[in-house]
Amino acid sequence: MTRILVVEDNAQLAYGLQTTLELEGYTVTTAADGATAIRRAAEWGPDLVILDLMIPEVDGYRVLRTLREQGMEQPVLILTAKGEEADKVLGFRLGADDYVTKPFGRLELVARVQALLRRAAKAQQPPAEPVERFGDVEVNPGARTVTRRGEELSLTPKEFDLLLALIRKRGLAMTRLQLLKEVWGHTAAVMTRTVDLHIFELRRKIEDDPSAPKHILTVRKVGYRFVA
Amino acid sequence: VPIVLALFAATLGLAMLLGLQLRRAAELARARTAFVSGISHELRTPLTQIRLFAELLEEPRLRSDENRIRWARIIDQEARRLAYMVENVLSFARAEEHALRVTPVDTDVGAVLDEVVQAFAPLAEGRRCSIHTEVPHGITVRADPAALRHVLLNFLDNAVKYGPEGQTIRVRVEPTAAVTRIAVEDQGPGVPAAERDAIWQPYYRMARDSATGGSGIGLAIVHELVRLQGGRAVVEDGADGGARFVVELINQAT
Repeated sequence: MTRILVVEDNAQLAYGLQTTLELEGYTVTTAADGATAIRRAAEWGPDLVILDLMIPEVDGYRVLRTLREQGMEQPVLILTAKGEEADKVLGFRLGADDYVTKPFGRLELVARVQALLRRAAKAQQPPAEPVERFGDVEVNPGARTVTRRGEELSLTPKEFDLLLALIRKRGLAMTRLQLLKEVWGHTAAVMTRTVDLHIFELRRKIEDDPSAPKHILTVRKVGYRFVA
Repeated sequence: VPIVLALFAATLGLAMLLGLQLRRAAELARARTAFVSGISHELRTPLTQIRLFAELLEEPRLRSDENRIRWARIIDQEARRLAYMVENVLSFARAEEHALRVTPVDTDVGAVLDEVVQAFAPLAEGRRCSIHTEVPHGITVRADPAALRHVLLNFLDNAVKYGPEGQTIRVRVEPTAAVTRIAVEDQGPGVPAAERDAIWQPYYRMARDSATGGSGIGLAIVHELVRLQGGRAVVEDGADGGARFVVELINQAT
């Protein structure tokens, strides 16, 4: 569940924001002053922070600076009645990702929160794909290495991508055109011969007998198919 | 030579006067800018809530009687706050133009207080504050009822704003021989003795309140309205260490 920390000293408004965000499926915690906000952000690890600037004890700018200094990289959306250019510039300089002035539209706020979370998710490293084993070959997608009987094989980047593309669609026949598009980004059919040449090289490196392949099979009149 | 000296002195004097005027003008301009940003912040807070809760009321996934009653109450309460703020700004503008007028008549203090406390109850409820009144019956002062209402609303609003959530605000009426004192006492941090005169000046805001939205005009209007009615407004120490804002009005002539 995506967690959102709402820093807002007006209890009613905090309640309204919480209601709005929970409706969209987010888990929400609120903090009514700067010191609590900093503590809660560290303890709870929110995925996004909505921050009012005029809050007691430690003001919003200082909260923002502290969060960034402490290494928090999650998006921060400033939600404030301070709408002057200088306020916004200062907010962005201190590490805010978005700025919404009060009064705001509920749907716009939700849309901005969703956009920030989407961007943050993209920026994060995609989870590593599991290591793939077949025969005596081991493919590590994260490290981009292929070993055979414990010895590392030397594959060109395209050969590696081609192998991975076949593995990902295991059991399914893939046309040369599909492979070309997947690995080279081309869509023109004139280059399909390139695929054959790389398949030839791959078989030579990973198959016991490249003339009688057991993993990278030819599908007649279509293309290729991977089996473990 | 004496003429040259005199001219020199006169020029110097004029330059200093000009410098002083410019500084005063700059200070006033700064105060005005702070006022505009303060008031816009203050007006946006109720507006934000009115808009948000009105939008939530329209949300079909959240339709329930409980939500409807609670949110409609918030909208009503914030609309009242907004109206009162607009009234404050208008009064302040009139005071600046010396166009603020009052018409003191014999006024029943208890009746005005009942009305004000009742009107203010929803706003106090927003911060879970309770208002406790001690009003002896049959006290009549020379006052403009609308102006007195305005003064008391300002006191109550400050009490709610600067006192803690869930506090008890006490309203007391103390008649003396010549004047009647109406006191509003909160459980907040109080007003330091050094700032008790300055808070009545236009645009003045206490340093510690910089994080609280405010424009610095409420008490300036109170001061002016009370002065026009021949009374005075002061702030004292409350019994619980909070602030005790008092308006003194002249008793009805007997």
